Amino acid sequence: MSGYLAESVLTEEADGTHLDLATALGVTPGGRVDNPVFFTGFVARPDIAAAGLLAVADIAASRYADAGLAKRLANLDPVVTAGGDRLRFESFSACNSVYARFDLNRDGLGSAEVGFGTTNIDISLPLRTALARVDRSEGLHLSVGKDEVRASSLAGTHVERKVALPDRWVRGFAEVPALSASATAVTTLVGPAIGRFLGGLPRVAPPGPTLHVLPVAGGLRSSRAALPGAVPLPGTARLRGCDRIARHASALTVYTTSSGTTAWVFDIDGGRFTVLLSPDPFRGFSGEGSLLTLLTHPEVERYGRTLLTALGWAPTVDPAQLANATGLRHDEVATGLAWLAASGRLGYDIVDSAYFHRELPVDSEKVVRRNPRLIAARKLADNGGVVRQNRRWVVRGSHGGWYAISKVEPLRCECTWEREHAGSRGPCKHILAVVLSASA
Amino acid sequence: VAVEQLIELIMAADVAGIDTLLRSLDRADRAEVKRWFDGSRSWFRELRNESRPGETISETRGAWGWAEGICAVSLLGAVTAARRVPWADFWLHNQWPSEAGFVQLLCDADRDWVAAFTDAASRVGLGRNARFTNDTLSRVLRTAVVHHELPCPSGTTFLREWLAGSPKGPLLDTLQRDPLMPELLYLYLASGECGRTPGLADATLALVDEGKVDRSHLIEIVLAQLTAQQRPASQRVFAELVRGLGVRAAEVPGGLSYLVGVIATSQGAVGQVLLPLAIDLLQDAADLTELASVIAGRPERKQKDVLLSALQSEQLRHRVGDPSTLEALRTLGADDDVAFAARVAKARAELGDAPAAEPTSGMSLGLWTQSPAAVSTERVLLHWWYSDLAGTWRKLLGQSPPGNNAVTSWAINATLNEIANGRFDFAILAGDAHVLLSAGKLSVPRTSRLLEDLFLGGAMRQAWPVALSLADEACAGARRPAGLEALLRMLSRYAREAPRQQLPAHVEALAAGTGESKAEQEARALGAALSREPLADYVTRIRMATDGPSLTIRGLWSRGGEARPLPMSQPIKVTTGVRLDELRLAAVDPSNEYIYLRDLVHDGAMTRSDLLLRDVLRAVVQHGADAVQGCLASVERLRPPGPVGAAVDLWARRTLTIPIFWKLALKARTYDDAWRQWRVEPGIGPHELQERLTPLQRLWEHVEDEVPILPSALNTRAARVTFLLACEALLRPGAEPVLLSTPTFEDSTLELDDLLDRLTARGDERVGPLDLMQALYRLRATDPARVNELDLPAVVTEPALTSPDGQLSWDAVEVVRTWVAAGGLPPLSSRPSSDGSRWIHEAAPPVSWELCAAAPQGMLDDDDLIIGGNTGALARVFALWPDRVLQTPFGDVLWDDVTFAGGLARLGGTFGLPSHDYLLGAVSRSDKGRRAESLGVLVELLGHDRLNPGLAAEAALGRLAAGTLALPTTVQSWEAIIECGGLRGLWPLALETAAALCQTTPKPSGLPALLRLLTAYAHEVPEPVVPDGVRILAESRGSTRTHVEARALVAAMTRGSQ
Repeated sequence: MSGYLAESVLTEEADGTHLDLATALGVTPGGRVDNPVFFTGFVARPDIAAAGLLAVADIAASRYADAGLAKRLANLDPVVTAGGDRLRFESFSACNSVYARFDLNRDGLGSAEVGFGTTNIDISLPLRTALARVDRSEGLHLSVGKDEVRASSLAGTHVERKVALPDRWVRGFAEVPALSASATAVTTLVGPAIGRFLGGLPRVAPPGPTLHVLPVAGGLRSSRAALPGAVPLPGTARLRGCDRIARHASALTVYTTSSGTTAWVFDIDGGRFTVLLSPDPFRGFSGEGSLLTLLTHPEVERYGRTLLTALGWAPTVDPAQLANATGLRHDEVATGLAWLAASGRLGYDIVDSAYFHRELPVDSEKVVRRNPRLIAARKLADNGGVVRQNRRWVVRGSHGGWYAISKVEPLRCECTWEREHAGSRGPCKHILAVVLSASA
Repeated sequence: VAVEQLIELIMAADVAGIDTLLRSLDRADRAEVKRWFDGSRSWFRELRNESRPGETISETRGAWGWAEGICAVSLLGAVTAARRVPWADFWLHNQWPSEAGFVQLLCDADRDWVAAFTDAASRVGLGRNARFTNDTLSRVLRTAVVHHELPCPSGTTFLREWLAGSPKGPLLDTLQRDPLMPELLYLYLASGECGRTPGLADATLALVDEGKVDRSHLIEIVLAQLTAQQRPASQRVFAELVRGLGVRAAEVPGGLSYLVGVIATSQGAVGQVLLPLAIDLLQDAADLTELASVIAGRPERKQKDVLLSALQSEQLRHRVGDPSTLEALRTLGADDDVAFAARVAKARAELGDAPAAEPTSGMSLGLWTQSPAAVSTERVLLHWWYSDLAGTWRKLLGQSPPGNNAVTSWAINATLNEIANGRFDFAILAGDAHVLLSAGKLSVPRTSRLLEDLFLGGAMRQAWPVALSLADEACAGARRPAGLEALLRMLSRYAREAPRQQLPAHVEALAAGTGESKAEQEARALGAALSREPLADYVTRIRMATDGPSLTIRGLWSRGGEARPLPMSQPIKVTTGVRLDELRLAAVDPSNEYIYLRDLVHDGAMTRSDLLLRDVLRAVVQHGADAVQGCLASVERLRPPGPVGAAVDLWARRTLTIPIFWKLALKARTYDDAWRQWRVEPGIGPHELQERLTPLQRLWEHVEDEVPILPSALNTRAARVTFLLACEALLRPGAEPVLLSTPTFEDSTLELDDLLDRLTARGDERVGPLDLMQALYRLRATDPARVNELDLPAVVTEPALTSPDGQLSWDAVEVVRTWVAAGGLPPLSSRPSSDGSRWIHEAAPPVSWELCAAAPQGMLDDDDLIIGGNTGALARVFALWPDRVLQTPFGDVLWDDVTFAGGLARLGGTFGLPSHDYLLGAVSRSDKGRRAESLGVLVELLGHDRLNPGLAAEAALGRLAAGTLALPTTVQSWEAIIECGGLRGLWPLALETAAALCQTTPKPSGLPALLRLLTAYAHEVPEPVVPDGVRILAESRGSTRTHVEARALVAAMTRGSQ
C-alpha cells in the first residue's frame, strides 16, 4: 500500500484549467513506481472528461445494495490504466455489483503522449465539486500524475493518503473480463432515446426494482415481466451512475450474457463509458467464479506467466498474436489468459472485443491463490474428499454428507450452491474438486 | 492485585470505583492494568452475555459497557479508546447513572486528547442498533466538546444525532442557542443526513436572516453537496435552501455546466429550482441543446413546462436564435404525452416549423401477427395465495396488488404460456377488469402496464380488445377513472400495430368533445392513430359525424347485480345425531356465539347459538344428561362465553337449579355494573380491577353468591334473555329436543307452520315461557285469518319457570292465538329523539315481554348498551326489527361499520328509516376504501329489492338537516353501484332522493352532480318518469347549476318520448 503525494486538484491558471490527478503506487513497464506520470496534455472535451471521471467516481462512492451511509460516502479511488493511446478509468461500486469504466481514447486526448501503466487516482469531494463545474468552452489540461506537486506545495502542506485497493475489487477486476467477453449486443439506442429511457426508470432508493427492458422501435420499453427477448435490469438505480454521462452520449449499446450480467456502453465524443451490472444487486462481481474451471488446469500459471512477457502493455491483446509469439496452442493461450485475467492483469473491451493489459499495483496473484472456492476444492481433493466411482464422482459435503456428481458433462452437483445458482456463478467447490482430482 | 481489584469493580459495574482505582495507580500498576485491559476484549465480550439479577440484557450490557469505557478512556490512546468504548451498548431508552461519570472523565482529560478522542468517536460504526444508541454517543461527545471548547466533531455517526444533548424545543430556538453553531450546521448539511430533520431549511433560512449563518458559505456548501449524490430527502432540503436563499445564476460557480450536470443527476425538486437559473445562463445553441436533451429525458412534467415556456419567450430566442430554439422544441416534443406534445407543436408552429402530421411512433413491430411462445414459467416460489392465475390477475389489477415483482412476472409469463397452449380465457380477465372498474377499484395505470406486457409478449391480438373495451367502459362513466390517459396513451403507442379500426363509441365521444383534458387529447391521438388519419383531419371528421356524445345503450338496466341468497330464504341446517366430541368443540368455539352484528355476515352465523343449544338438548336425548354434562364440564374457554355458553357452563357443572335460575333472572348484577362500581373505588388500580373482573367470566364459581355477577357477554337485556332462555331449556332437558323458538330460517325467523307443528308435538308436555315469547318475536308476518289453525289442545308453560313461586302457568296456544289474531309483530316505528342523539323505536306488540317474569325488565327500551358488541344478540332476539340495532340518527358511521352494514344486510324483516339512513351514511363516508367495501352491501340489498325509495329520500333529507349529507361521495358510490349492475334497483331511490332534494332550500352542494349522474344514465332506463320535484325545479326560473342540470335531466328523460 502506498499513498498520494498530494491531493488531486483542479486549478484555474492563465493558460486554462488544470486538472492534476494525483497517482499512487503504480505498475509500469519499468516495474513498480511510486506516483507515476501517465499523461500530460489538453483533452478535447473538458466537460465530457470531467463527467466521465465523475461518473466513475460516483459509482465508486455508491453502495446500491446497502444503505449504510457511512460506507456509501467513503470514497474508493478509481484505477487508471494508460495504454499508450488511451486512458481507462475503472471502478466498482462499494457493493461490488456495478463495474464502471471510462475510456478516454486518442480522439479525446489530443496529440499528447500517453504512457503505459496502471495506478490509483485520488478523487476527493472537493475535486468532485470542482469537476462538476468544468465548462466545455474552457480548455482543460489534464495531468495523470505530476512531476511536481503543485497545489500541496503552494499550500505548504504535504498530504499522503493511503490507497486501499480491496481484494473485492481485485477479484471483481478478475471476473469482469470473462463476463464481458461472453456478452452479446442486444440493441442500440441513439440520440434522445437514451435520455428518455434513463429518465423513465423509476427514481427510487437503491437498488431499485427489477425491470426487464425490451427493444422496440425507437427505444426500450421496460416491463416488470421477464418477457422473451427482454434484457434483465435488476436494481434499476444501479444505472443512475450513468446520468452524468448520458447527456453526452450519442449511442447506448446494451449487451447481455447468459449469466444475467448486462453491459451498457455509452458512445461519447472521444471515448466510451461502460457499465456492467451483476445479475443481482446483492451479488457482487467478486463472487462470480466464471474463471474457476480454467484455473484448475495444472499448467495454468505457467501458461499465464509465459503470456505475461508477451503482453507488453498493448491496448488490445490479440490471442493469435500471443500464440505466435509464445508458441502456445490456442487453448493454452485461453487458459493462460484466464489466469492473467484472474490475477487482474487483463481487462476486456466489449466494443473492441479484445483484452487489454493492465497491472494492478497489488499482489494480485494472491487473489488467485486465496480464492475461497478454489482453496476449499483443493482441500477436498487433497484430503480424500473426492471418490471416483464407475459412473460418477462422490464428493464430501460440508456437513458430513456426500454429493454425487455424474461424469456426464457438464458436471452437475446436488449441493445447495448449485441448486441456487445452477452454474451461473461458476462451478461449486465440489465440482472444482472433481476437476482437480481428474486432472491430477 | 490492581488487576484483581479492577476486575472486581468491573464485575460490580462500579464506575466511580473504577475511576478512583485507575486514578490512584502508580506507574507499574498502571502498566500492568493496561496490559490486562489491552488483552481483555474477549473477556468483556463474554461478560456481555452474562445476566445480572433484576436487569434487562440491555441494562446489564450498558452497565458493563460504561465500565469498559471508563477503563478505555483512562488507559488507552485517544483513537484506540474511542474505538474501544462499546457505544453500541448504550441504549437510548435506559437511564445511565454512569454516563455522568464517563463524561466527567472526559472533561477532566487533556484537551488535545479529548479532541482526538471525539473526532475518532464521531466516526465509529454502531451497527444495526445505531438508531437506539446513536443518541448517547452524540450526547457524550457534544458535552465533552463544548466543555473543552473544541471544534465540532465531523464524523457522520455524531452528526446523525446532531442535536442529542441540546435543550429540547423548536429547531430554530435550539440552533440559536447551540454553542457548536454554525459549524455544526455546515457539517450536518454535508453529512448526508440532513433530510432527516424536519423544518431544517426554514430554520436555516431564519438563521441566515439573523446573520448567524453566512449566506455565501451556505450557498457554497449546498452547491457542493448537490454534486455528492446525497439522499433524496437531503436533496430536497438543498432545493429548499437554494430557493429560500434566492440564489442567482451569477452566484453559481461553474455556471451552466454545473447546473446542467446537477439537474441531470438530482431529484426533481432540485432540478425544478435550478432550471430557471440554467435558463438564465443559456448563451448559445450548444448550451440550449444540452439543456433540452437533459430536460427531455427527465420524467418531471413541471421542468418540461418551464423550459417550454422559456423557449416561447422572445428574450431567450434572441439569445440562442430560432434554429436552436426549434431544435430544442423538437427534442422536447418527442414525448409520449400527447397534451404536452401538442403544446410543443403549437410552439413550433408559431416559429414557422410545421411538425410532421403523423405521430413519430408510427413504425410497426409486427406485434399483431405474433403469438406468444410457450415458455417455461419462471421458477418463482409463490405463496399458495398466488397459485390461482385468475385470482392473481384480480389482485394485480386491483388497488392493492401484491408488492412482489415476482408475482407480476409469474402472472405475465404464466398467462403467455396459457395463451400459447390455448388455455387462457380472456373473457374472465376482461370480466374481472370490468367489475373492478365498475367498483372504482381498478388501477388503470397498472392495468395499462400489464396489458402492455401482454402486447409485447406476443399476445397483442388477444389482449387488444380487452384493453379497448376497458378504455370504452372507463370513458362511458359520468366520472372517468384516474389514469385513463395512461391507458389511452399506451393504446396509442401500439395503435399502429393493430388493424385500422374505429374507436369504440364512448372513447370516440370523448375524442369528439371540445375539452382539452389529457384524456381527451389522448383519445384523439388514439383515434387518429387507429384510423390512420392526421390528427386534425380525424378530429374534424368525428366532430362533424357526431352531434354530442354518443348515447349507446349499454344494457345496464337489464344487467342485474349478482345477489347471493339472503339468510331469510335459507332454511337452517338440520342435523340428526350429535357426537359428543363434536359438541364439545362446538361449545368451546367462540364463533358459534358471535355477539357482534358485523360477524353475522358469515353464512349461518345468525343461528349458530340457537343450533348449539339445540344440539346440546339433542345430545341429552341421545346420550343422556350425565354423559353430556361430563363431556362439557371440563371445557376450557379461551374467550369469555356467550349467552348460551354461559348457560351450558352452569348446567354442565351441575350448578344450575330453578332457585339459581330465578336468582340470576331477578337479582344478578351485570358485569358492566360491577366494572363501573369498582373502577372508581379508591385505591384500585387497573391490575386489581382486572383481577376482580376476570373470575366473573366463570359464572359457576360464584353463582351461589347472594347477588351473582354475570359474565361480560350478558350486559344487554337481549343477551340475558337468550341466556335465561337457554337456562330454562337446560333445566328441562330431555323434554324438548326442539325448542319452540328454534328458527326456521337462517335469518333467525320462524314460520307459523313450524310453531304449530312444535306445539302439536308437545302433547301434554309443558313449554318454557321465555321460549314461547322468543318464538313469537321471531314469527314471520302471518295472515290473522290463520288463527283458525290454532284450534289445538292447551299447552301450558312450566309453572316453576313461569313465576318465582311456581304457582303461575299460561296456555301457550292461547298466547299464540292472541298474537296471530292481532296481526303478529307490528312494524317498528323509529324517529330521532328530540335532541337528535338517538333513535326512539316504538311498537306495541300484542303480547309483551313483561308477561314473562324471568325476562329482563324493559325489553323494548332503547337504552340498552349496544356499543362495543352485543348487537348480534339484539338482532337475534328481535329478528324482524333490523332497525333496533341502530342507535344514532343521521350521524357519522363508525370505523367498523362496513362489516356492520354487511351484518345489517343479513337481517330479516323490513328496513325502516334508521337502516336507510345508516346505509346512506355507509356509502357516503369519506374513506374511499371502506366506502367501496360497503357498496357490495347496497348492491346486494338492491338486488333483493329490500330498500324503499321514500325512506331513502327521507334519510337524505334527515342527513341534510343534520349537516351530514355527503352528497358528492354518495353520487360517486351510486355511480359505482350502477356500473356494477345496480341501475334498476338504484334508479328509483336516486330519483326520489333527487326529487326530494330539489325541493329543499337552499339546495345541497352535491345536487348538480346527482342530477348529472341521473342524466348520464337516463337513456338506459326504459320509459323514465320525471318526478314532480325535478320537473318543478327544471321549469322554475333560474340559471344555477342545479337548474341547468335539472333541465338536462328532464330533457334526457323525455328524449325517448319525443
